[in-house]
Amino acid sequence: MARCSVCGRPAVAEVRYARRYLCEEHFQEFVERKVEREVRRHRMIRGGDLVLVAVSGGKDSATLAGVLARLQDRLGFRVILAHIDLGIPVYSERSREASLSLARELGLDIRVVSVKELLGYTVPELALRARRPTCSVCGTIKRYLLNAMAIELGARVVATGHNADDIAAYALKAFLTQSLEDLRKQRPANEPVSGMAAGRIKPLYTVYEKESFLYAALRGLPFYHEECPHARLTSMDFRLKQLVNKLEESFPGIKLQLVRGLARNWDKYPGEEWTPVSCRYCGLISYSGECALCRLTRRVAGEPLGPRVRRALSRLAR
Amino acid sequence: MARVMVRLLPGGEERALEAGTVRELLTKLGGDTESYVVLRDGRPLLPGERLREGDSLVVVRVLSGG
Repeated sequence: MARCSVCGRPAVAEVRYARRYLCEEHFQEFVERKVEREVRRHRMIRGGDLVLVAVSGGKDSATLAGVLARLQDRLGFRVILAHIDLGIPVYSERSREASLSLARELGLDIRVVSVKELLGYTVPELALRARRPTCSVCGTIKRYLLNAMAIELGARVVATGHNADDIAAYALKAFLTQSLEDLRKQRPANEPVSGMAAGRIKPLYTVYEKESFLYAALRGLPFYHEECPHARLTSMDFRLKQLVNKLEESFPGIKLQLVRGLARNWDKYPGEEWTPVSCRYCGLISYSGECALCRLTRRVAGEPLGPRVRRALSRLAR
Repeated sequence: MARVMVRLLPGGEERALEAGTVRELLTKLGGDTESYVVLRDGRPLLPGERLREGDSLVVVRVLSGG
């Protein structure tokens, strides 16, 4: 039986790129140190910050919340969880239950919002009416609601559970399709824009998806491990994740090298910094004076619903 | 070689297979040691660990779909 390289107890994980075997305790410490290093290196969080942590109910957000809950006292910030009920039958109910259990387990405050209650339609209904892919509409809504919740709650940044596998797959896709400007979007941290947008941070930037699963499982954090019915295992993103992992098996550390390189070099790729404009309807961030949510709901529901959503979230924040 | 029962997650499909180690089991399932975790009684097994005759294992695909 392999033994922990730190203490000699039975190992539960092999971290090949670090040439280490780790026991339960030292594996958790390893992941926590990795996250803390990235948080400090990219100045993701400042002392006194309120950090809104997006929790989907899955393993990555469980790990993210679990690690940040342990770091908050030492680094001097506060964590609040946010869950969005997308209205996808069964999947959303289970995800909501897992998110509430996680908040209870970690002793953290959680705010839950329902897309159906806020907008009058579930995400699949909106996608159908907009004639757009469900995942694209889902992304638009989640980005808007998390940002709006952060603004109403006074959180300086929103933390999401994007892991190294996600980042590596996006980066390779951007390269394969030569959408090099998309590489700039994969930076570990975005600064807030006063009154319009909270900052966005990815503390799990260098944490492998397997490490994220193991951390949540070994710590006994509640999470729901089923696939969203709208996810496609034939998608390029998923295939690229598999491809990167095949490479990782032969060349341990290649994934880490890719994401660390991207974190250093994102500003060397083409594309210009844009000047954010306040949405004429809801006042939040937009490219051209109308945010993506107000545009979507104006088409689907006949009116921009950003202002209504902001009023509802403002009541929730009190 | 050990005969083992595996339950695949997500999904919950069950299969009977023969394999000597965790790595061999994953190869038989078309997977790799970076994308999957194998659990015995909830404890993660290392890729080189030997399987036991009659093992009941959970094989988790840790990669989420796109």
